[in-house]
Amino acid sequence: MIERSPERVLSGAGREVERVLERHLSAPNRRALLEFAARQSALELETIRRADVPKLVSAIVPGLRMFAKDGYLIERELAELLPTLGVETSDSELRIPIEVENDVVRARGAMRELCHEANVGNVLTTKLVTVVSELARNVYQYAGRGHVGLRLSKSPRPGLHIEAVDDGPGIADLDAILLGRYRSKTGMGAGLRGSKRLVDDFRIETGPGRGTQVFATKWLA
Amino acid sequence: MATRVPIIQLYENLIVSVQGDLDDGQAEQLREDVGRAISQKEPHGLILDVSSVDVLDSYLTRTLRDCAVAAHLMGVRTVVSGLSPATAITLVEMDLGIPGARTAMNLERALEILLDDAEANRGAESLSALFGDEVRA
Repeated sequence: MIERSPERVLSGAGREVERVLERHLSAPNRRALLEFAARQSALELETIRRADVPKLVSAIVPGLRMFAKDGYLIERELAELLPTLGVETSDSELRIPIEVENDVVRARGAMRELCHEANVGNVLTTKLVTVVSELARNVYQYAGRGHVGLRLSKSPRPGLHIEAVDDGPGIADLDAILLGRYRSKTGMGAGLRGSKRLVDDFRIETGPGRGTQVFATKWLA
Repeated sequence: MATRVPIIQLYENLIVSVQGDLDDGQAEQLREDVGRAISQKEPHGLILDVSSVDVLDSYLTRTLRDCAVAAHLMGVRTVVSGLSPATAITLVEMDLGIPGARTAMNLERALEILLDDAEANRGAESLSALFGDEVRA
């Protein structure tokens, strides 16, 4: 028999968190997740304050992977929620415009520094700098200009996030490239496939005329 | 104008010290310079030393491979030397390699490999001069 506790009334800040979960989880699931996270972080859902939200979110994140397939999306939205609540998340964020070829080298250097700041070891640093090198070069080579964004997140889950964004012609046959059926003369296929293998999450949004946005994440814990 | 990557001749071999921040122009120039140096100096082997490269991405890997393949077509062996452990692990995970080239831990080993090859070749040549071609088969 399932024991049902009466629905708890959330505080304002708790409600903000629930609103993010609402977009992805059914009511019983999100309530179960919220109550589990509150217990884990010794908080009361009724009295939760804005300053408690990062703590609550940190407890939610491990559970997300059990409750939802698109867990990474929810994590991102939760991470985006924190600054809107005026909570300091102390993320380090860098944005490197890619306009000339030497910007690829600058982007690599920035990643190396961020890895150093995050206390990342030598092998992982080399892998992540390689990913940045691949993605930044793609922006330069295929779109001419764009930017690379690097972020070190501490909450909800520590990780290094790389994005490469351009308004270029887009990639027409992404699936063929990622499956290795396509080999460009310049070898973009190998670079993208290789980058995907070096990180935990790898997503590409692209299409003819839509530009290309690549998001790569390596979790640090 | 892009700075050129110097190509050094040592004994009968050509040595290129590859830098990690090659741009398109320099990579193109390097491929041309290696081809020209091979045809002019007729070396025994080509060494591409990457010990000062911090990141070997698919772009640089391709440049190395192009040099090795061109050298091979001209009858010259290529040894890539000095890959760091982190770089090697990264290449493995990316499923990238440098087909057409042998590898050596460092420049010294690379030279040894090429010297051994040269001696083996000379041995085979002198044998075939004595006994004819069937010895080589």
